Amino acid sequence: MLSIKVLLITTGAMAVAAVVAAAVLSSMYKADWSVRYIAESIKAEKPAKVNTPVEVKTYVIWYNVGGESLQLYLLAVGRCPPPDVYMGVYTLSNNSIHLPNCSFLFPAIGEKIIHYYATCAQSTDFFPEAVELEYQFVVRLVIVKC
Amino acid sequence: MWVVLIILLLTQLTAAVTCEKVDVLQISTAAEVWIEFSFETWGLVFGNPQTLASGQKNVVWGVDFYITQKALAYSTPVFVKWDRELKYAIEIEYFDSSESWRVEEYVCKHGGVVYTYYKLTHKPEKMSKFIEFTVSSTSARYSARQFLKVSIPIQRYLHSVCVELPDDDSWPSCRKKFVDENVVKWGRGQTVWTALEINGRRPGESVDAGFVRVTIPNPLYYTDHGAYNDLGIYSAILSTDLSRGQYISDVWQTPFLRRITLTVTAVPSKWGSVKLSPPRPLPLYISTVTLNTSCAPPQCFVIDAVGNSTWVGTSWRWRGTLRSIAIKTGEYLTPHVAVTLGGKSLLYNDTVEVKMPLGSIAKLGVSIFWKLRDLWVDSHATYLRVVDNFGIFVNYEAVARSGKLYYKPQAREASLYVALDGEFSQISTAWYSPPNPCRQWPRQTFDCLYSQHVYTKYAGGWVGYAKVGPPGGTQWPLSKLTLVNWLVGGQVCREGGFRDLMSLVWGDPHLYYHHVYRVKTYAFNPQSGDFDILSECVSRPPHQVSLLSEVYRAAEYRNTTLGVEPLLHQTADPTYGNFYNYQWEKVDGGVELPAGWSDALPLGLATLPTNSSPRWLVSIIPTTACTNIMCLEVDAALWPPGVALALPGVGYSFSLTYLGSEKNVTLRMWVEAGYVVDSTFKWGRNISLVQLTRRWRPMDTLYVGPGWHLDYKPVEPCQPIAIGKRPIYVTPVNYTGPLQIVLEEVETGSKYFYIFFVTNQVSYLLKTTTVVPQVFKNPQLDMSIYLYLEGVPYFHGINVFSGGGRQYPFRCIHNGGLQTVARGEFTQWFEMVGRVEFVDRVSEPRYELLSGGIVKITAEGPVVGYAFYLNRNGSWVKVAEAAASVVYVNASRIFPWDPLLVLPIVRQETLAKPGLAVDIWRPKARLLYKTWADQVGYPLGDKSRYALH
Repeated sequence: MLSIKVLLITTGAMAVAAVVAAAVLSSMYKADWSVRYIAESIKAEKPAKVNTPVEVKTYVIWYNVGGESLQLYLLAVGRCPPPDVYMGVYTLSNNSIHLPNCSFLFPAIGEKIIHYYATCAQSTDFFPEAVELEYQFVVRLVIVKC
Repeated sequence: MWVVLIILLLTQLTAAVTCEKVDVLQISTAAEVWIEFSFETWGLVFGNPQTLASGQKNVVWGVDFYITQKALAYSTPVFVKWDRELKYAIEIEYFDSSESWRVEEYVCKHGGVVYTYYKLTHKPEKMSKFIEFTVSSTSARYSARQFLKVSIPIQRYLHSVCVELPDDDSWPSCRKKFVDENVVKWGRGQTVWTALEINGRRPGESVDAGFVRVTIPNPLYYTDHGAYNDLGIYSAILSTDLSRGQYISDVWQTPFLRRITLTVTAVPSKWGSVKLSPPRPLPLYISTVTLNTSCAPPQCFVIDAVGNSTWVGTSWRWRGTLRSIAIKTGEYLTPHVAVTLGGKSLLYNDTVEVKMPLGSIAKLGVSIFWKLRDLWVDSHATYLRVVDNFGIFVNYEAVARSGKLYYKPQAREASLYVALDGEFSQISTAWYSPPNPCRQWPRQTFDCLYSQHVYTKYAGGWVGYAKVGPPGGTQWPLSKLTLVNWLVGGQVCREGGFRDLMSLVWGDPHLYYHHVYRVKTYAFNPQSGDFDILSECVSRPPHQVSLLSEVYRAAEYRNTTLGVEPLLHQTADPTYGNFYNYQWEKVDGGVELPAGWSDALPLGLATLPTNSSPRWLVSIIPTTACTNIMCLEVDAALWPPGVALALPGVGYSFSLTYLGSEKNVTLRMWVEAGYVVDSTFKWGRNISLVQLTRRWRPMDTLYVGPGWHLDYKPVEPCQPIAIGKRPIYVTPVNYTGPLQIVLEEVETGSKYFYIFFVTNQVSYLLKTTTVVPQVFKNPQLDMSIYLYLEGVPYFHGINVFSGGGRQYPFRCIHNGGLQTVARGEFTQWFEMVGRVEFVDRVSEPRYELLSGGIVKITAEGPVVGYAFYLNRNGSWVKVAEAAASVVYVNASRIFPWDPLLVLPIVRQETLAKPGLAVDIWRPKARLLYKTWADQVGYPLGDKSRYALH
């Protein structure tokens, strides 16, 4: 088992974030279920489609693995608060945190390291594609195309 | 001149001559005559002279030579001062050009034949002219020309000009013919004079040129007359277009037509000479390996000896010895003297003489060339000999002390500085250069084997070609006999001091050198794995010497022995005279090289050891039945001879070299066991190879096989000789061990025995390398397989089979000796002589992710680097190569949709033996891309970028 620690928390959001129209935002409050649905689909690596656009944001967080620092992505779906409070080491069984109108997909540390990345800021259609490679451990990245 | 028509009239034959005048002619024959004078001077030699040499020109060792025994050297000075003006004069008698000739034309008949005749009735007056040419007293060169108008004698225009017409007795000639000519009546030259200055030097002056010193003769006589110069040449020559050259004062009534030429060369009166003599011819020695013990100079020299020896306790115990010996053949190396002077080179097989005016200083280059039949053989540095071929002691000391001679051996060509003047006007020198028959010109006919591997016993067992040495360090073959080494030097630790080769062979005189040497040699110690068993011997005087190192001006020479036999200088030159290879010490401390003795190298040929005193040399010749992959019919080829080892069940022929004196010999040759392969297989004891009668000359060589023989043809290394469809001798298949060859001379009944070893102790050296193409498709591993027999590189024409059903053709390479190599992509196993199985090991890149997006790449196995490819236009194109077994790549911009292909570059060198499996590392490519998070992210559609960290 890998010895992994959360080294430090950097809430640096990825530059892919675009400006969200105010009109779109207001409609999201009613579509609470779509956020969770999308998050679960991404984790299952299956495509998902919803009626109203949902925001996604990718953060970079730092871990320490066996003395070397490792950066992984944290995916925030919907309108989420800063994730600092929820930082930790999660496994595949508990790496998704669901809040009203927000789901966090944290990196899952286990046999493989799995993390999630979005290529857009918001969309109604999401297509996750996974790539993985073995280094001294396996890192699986789920790239979510929109 | 008037054109005259000749009319022929036919009349009846009459008994008497009747002439009838038909015309009267007046003819003018005025013409211009040139009188040419030229004068030049031969000066003393200082520096680069003119060399007057003639004779056939030959190219030897790439240099142009005049084949001549004599040459003259002189300079062409610019500045000279004579003691007077030089005057050359002639007196000419000629017909006045302002007058004409009057002739009457007659038609004369006699006996039915009619001819025309001219009778001279008036000729122009004979005139006299005195012509003088003056060379100023400061001219080294001068030329001048004068013209004279004359009447050409009428008989040059008309024939049959008579003074009296023909009569019955003189018919058909004139009774008296007109024969008067224009002539040079007499001539006069300067004959003898002196020079007051030449080339800036004056008579009586001493010139010091560093190494040598000369005194200009005083007075410095010059002449054009043969009686006044040492060469006996006459150099004031008058010639005309009607007569050959004569010495000027010998001229008397010499006719001319239109040209008179007077050529004068001022020649110094006194001349000296330098003579350079070659040594005597040397017999050619050939070395071979033998068990026989009797060997004495000059017929035979022992080169090296090793034991059938065993390590017992702390030392080697010898039981019987194997020796390499150099045997005198009936062939001789003929020496030639090569001299270079003034840009020209002379070559002659006897003493060369170069003449120079007294007062000259010159530098000559001297070499001794050796010839073997029509081949020129190489030689080492050239040395002065202290005695000549007639046994006369050459006293250089007196000449050198006076500064008339200086000598230095310098590689092939020695430099000889001479100064010729009244003190020593004739200098004689004798020379020697040790021959090296291993190198020949213009074609390399004999390749020397410098040492031969032999068997020995070590720790109770036969050790063929074992390698010993410190673990992990340099490994030496345990038993090796040197074949090419100096003949005389090889026997250092014997009684009686060093010996001189020319003395041993010819009884040439030599001097003695009194010095006590300690010689150290080191034997191999199996316990330490090093050569550390010291063996010493002391070599006591007197040592025979005949070669000199420097000869210089000092009054005394170093270590000159006193008494009756002085030695001119002590040791052989430390740089170029070092043709022995022992560690020398003076008994009382220090190192001092031995004095120079004449020596020679033998020709070391790859031959089979024999137990008799060799009269025939036998070599084993690998023979292939065909050289293609598919053999449909026999197309045999002979390969160059190799070591005395053979593989079982493979084809060989033999070569025979005769060393005796010229004779008719019927020879029978057979091998103890084996096959003869043609269309039928034959096997038996005592395979008869050949029986032939022939006239043998020394060094005659033949190739022999079952029922056939061929004349020797020299070949380049790795070049076979095609011999077509012939039966081939094949070694026994299931046998390893010695096989004997017997040669019998039928006339005398003498038998000679030779031995070679059949062995299957094959090993291979495998060298692999990963192919790194520009465009990658599949990993490719190229392998080269090198054949060794008993641990020694071995050659035979054996193809390689490999798993996958492919067969690969053999190739021959020159690796010290010849060796078989096969190249290809061999999979699963290969078989040359005995099969080797491969165990495939995979070398695949392993990745380790480090901070900052750096990936550390490693791979298992003998990795020397990595090649990196990116997919462009549908192909994997190489973008980089790194030469390290661990590489760090910055993969921040290597995206999963445009991965990097990493190919490990594997290189392996492994020894393999038949029957054993060997690990072969094969490269496997692996993709690399990033899947971790960083600020670069994953911009879809971006191309990857390779960056080495």
